Amino acid sequence: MTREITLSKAVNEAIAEEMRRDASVILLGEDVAEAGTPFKVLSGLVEEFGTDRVIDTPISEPGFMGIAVGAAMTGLRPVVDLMFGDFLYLVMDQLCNQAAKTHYMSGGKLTVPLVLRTNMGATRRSAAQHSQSLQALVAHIPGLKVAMPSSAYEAKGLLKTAIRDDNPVVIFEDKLMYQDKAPVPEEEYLVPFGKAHIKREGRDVTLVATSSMVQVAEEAAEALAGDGISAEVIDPRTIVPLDEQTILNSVRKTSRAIVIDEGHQSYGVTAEIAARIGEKAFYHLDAPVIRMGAMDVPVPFSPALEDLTVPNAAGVAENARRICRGELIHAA
Amino acid sequence: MSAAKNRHNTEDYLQMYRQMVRIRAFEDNANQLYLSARMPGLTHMYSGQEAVAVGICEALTDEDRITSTHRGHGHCVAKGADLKTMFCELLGKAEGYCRGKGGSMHIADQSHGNLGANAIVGGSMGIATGAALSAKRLGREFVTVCFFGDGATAQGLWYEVMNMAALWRLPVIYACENNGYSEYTRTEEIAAGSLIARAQAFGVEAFQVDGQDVLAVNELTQQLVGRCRKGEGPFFIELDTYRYHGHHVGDINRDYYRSRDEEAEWKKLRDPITNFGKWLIDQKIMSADELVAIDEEISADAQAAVQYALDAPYPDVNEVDMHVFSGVDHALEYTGGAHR
Amino acid sequence: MPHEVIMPALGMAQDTGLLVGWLKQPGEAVNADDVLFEVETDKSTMEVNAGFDGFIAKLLAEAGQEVPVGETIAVISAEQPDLAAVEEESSGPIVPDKAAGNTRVEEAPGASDGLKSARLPEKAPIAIPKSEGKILASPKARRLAGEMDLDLNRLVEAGHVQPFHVKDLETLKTLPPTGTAASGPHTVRRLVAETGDDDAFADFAGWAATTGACQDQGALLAGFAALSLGRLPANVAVDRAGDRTIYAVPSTWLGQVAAAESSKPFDLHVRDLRFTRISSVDLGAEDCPTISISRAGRGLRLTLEIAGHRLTAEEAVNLLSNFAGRMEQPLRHLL
Repeated sequence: MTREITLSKAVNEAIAEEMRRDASVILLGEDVAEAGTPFKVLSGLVEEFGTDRVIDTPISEPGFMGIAVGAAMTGLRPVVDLMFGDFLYLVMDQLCNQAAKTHYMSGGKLTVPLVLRTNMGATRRSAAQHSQSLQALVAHIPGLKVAMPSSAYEAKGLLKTAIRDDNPVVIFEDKLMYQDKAPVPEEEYLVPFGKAHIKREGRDVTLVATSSMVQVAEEAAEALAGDGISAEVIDPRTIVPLDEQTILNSVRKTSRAIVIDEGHQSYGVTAEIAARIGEKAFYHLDAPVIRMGAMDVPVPFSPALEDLTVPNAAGVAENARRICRGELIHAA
Repeated sequence: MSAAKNRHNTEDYLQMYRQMVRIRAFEDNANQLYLSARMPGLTHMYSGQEAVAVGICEALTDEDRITSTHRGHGHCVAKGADLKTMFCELLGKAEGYCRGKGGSMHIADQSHGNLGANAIVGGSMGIATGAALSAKRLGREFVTVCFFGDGATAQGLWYEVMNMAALWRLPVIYACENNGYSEYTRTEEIAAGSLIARAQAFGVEAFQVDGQDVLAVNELTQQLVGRCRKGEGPFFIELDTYRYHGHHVGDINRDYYRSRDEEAEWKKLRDPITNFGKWLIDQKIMSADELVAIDEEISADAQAAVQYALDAPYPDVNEVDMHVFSGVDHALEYTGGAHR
Repeated sequence: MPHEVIMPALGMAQDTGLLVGWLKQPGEAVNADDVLFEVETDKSTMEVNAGFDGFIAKLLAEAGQEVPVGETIAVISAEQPDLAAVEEESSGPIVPDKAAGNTRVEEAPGASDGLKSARLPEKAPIAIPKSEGKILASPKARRLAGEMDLDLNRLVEAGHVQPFHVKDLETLKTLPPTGTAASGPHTVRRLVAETGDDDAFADFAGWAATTGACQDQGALLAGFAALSLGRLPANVAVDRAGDRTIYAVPSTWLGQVAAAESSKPFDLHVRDLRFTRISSVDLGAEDCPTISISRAGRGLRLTLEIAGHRLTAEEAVNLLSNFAGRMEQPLRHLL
C-alpha cells in the first residue's frame, strides 16, 4: 500500500521506526523534544520514546556533536539534528576531525555510527546564514557519507539506511520541501546508498540533479520535450558514495550533460560530478559538461536578489538547448 | 607522600610502580628513536606526569573508558597497552594498535577502553562526555575519564559539554593535567581566574590534587569513580604536575619560557617515580635492590620492544584506502574516486 | 578604397600600445568582426577587431613594437591584393616614418627576446585555422572522425562553422573528395549478384514475424549483412522506405540485433529497394561497403559498391556471395 505523505512526515516515520527497532538509537539536538524542531519534523517522538531517548540539548552545536561522536563510539546510534545546515561550520572539528577520521585513525577498531540530519536550500528569505547548501563541504571529507533526498520517498528510505550504517552519515533535507508530498509505501523499505535513480529516461542530454534540483531538472525536461529534446534526469540520491556508473552510462548514451546542485557552483558538487564525467566519459562527449550551482555570492535577503542565485528550470532548459544545438560554450 | 592507605596490598603498589616505570622507559626510548631519526613525525613526551595516568587508570577497570591527548603515551600504557604494539604504532608498522594509521598522536589500545589519543587540543572532551551518555542510556556501569591539559581549558568545547554532563548527571571525570605550560606559554598567561572555579560554576564538584603523588591521585579517583557509578557525576580534578621535556621532542631550546633551574628542581624534589620508590622502601614494602631489578627488567623489555618494532614490517600499500568506512574494504572503489 | 587601421587608445592616459601580435596575415580575407591583432596596454592585453571587411593589404608594424596611439598599423583593401607586389614593396614590416626617430621603436627588436614577445609563438597558430589541433570539435566528434578516417580539416576548408559536433560528420562524409583522393584513379568495386526465382527471404521474414522471433525485416537484413562481412560486432545502416536505422549486431544470434543510436558510425550499409521501382543501381562508392537490394524478375538483384582501398577484391567477392547465399537460403542461419 502506498499513500502520499509529506517529506517531514517521512523523516518522522523513519526515525520512529528505527527507534522502535533498535533501542540504541537516540535523537539529540536543539528543541527536538517538546518543540519537535522549528520545522515540526520531529513532533510526537518524545511522547513515544521519552526524554531519555529524545534529548533536548542547549544551543551548543560543537558540544552535542562531540557528545554524539563519543556516544556512537560506545554503543549508541545517535541521530543528531542540526537545526540549519549553516551551523555545520560550528561542528566542523567534531564532524570532520573526529567522527570522519576515528575509524581510519584507529586502524578500523573504532566505529562511529551516527547520523547528522540537517538541511539546505535558499529562497526562504532567510539571508546568508540560514540558507546555505553546504553538502560539498562535507562530501570533501573522506570517511563521511552524504545523502541528499529528493522526495519524501527518498527521505525516509535513505534515513533508515543511514541509521543502520556503521559510519557517520550526513543527510541534507531541503527545508523548502518539508511540506511536499510524495507516494511512500506503508510497508518498510530502505533506499540503498550509492544507487542513483533514473527519474526520467531520455536520449539527448543527461541532467544530473540533487535534492530539490531534481524537481527543477524534471520541469526543464518537460519543457525540453516540447522542443523535441529528450532529457534524461538522474538523481544520485547519495553524493558519497556516488553512483558514477549510472551517470556515465547515461552520458555515454546522450553525449551531453548538465549537473545541477544548490550548493555554490565553484569547487562544488556540480564541479566534482562534471569532472568525473569529463575524465571518464570524455570521448563520448559532444558538448562541454555544464555545471549549474548556486551563484557564488552569499545568499541575499531581498527576494528580488535571492531568486537570481538559485538554478531554475528555465535556465537548465536554456543551457540544454544551447548544447544540443551545438553552440560554442565558453570558447577559450 | 600520603600514607593513609598502608593496607593497600603490595601487588597494587607494585603495579603502580611498574606502570610508572614502564611509561618512563617507553618515553626514554621514544625520545631516542626520534633524536636518532628512526621515528617518523614528532611526539610529545609524558615523562614527569606518570603519577597522573597511573594513579587514575589503576582506579579504572578495562570496561571504563578514557580519552587521551596528543601527550598520550602515558595514558595508553597506564590503561594496559603492550609496549611492542605501541612502538610498532609509533614507527608506522602494520602491527601497531592503529595499523600504523594513527601514530604517536592517535595511539590507543582500544581493547582496554582507550577511545583514542587526540591531536586537537580539547578535541576529545565531547567524545568522553558522549561515552558517559552511552553508559547512562545503556544502563552500563562504566565511567569515562577525559584527560586534557591546562591548555585545553581555553577551548569552548569543554564548557559546552561540561554543562550538558552536569545537566544530565553523566558519569564522566574531567581530569586536567596542569603541567604549568600551554605549549610554549605559561598557564598563568592563558588562564584567568581559577580552573576549578570554572567547573564549580556549572555545579560540578571539583578537586585539586598533587599530580606527582600516585597514591593521592589513585585514592581520589577511586572515590570519584565509585560516586560516578552511583550516578553522582560528573567531577573535575585539577592535577598539579610537570612535563620534563619540551612541548614536543624537538622543543629543546626552551629557556625563553621555562628555566633550567625550575626543571631541575621538579626532577630532584618531585619526581613521581623516585618519591614513590622511596615510600615503598620506607614502608618496607620493597627493597632498593628489588626496585632496581624491576627498573632493569622493564628497561630490557622496552628495548626489546623497540627492536621488535624496528624489525616489524610496514603495512601493505593496499591498506592505504582500508578502514575509511566500516563495512567497506577499499574506500576508493566504493566512492568511485579510484584513479587506477 | 583601402581602409587604414590605427593603433587604438584603450587605456587611460595611454600614449602608445604594445603590439603583441597579428592574427591575420597579408592576403587573408578579413571580416570587420574578426580579431586582427592584440595590444597590450598598461592594464591588460586586448584583442582588437579589424573594423572593416576586405583583405589584409599591408601590415605596417611588427609584433613586439610599441606604436604611438593613432598610428596606422595596417591597411585593409576591398580587393584581394597582389601579394607578390606587396612583398616587393617591402621585404618586412614598414616602420612608420613618424616613429622612425623614436628610440622606443628601435628597442623593439631587443624586446622580442624578452617576456612580451615570448607569447608570440603560442599566439601565432590562432591565425592559421588549418593548423592541426586547433580545430574546435567535441571529443566525441573527434573520436568518431578518427574511427571513420574522416579529416576534420576538410570541414574547415569547406568553410563550416566551428565547433564541430557529431552531426557535422554527416556533412563531412558528403564533401567531395579532395587532394590525392580526387586526383587518384577512381577505383570503385561494383559487384552484382542475383538470387533464384522465389523470394525466400520474404518467406523467411514472414515466418520470423509470425513466430515472434523478429518483427523487423531491417534487423534481419542487418544481421545477414554483418554475418556476411564476418566482422562482429558490427553496426549496419539499413535504409528502408526513406528511413535509415542503425542496427547493432553483437553476435551471430539474430535475436540480439537491435536498433542503436542514430549517430553511431556504421560498418556496412544496406539499401532495401525491393519495394521501389528501381531495378539497378550504380551510385558510386561510399566509405563503407554498400549493398543495394532491388527486384530482378521474381528474385532479387544484389549490388555491392565500395571504394577499392576499403575492401580487397577477394573480400568484396566473399561479402556479396555470402550475402546472396543467405538471402537465397535464409534458413542457413538456423542451422
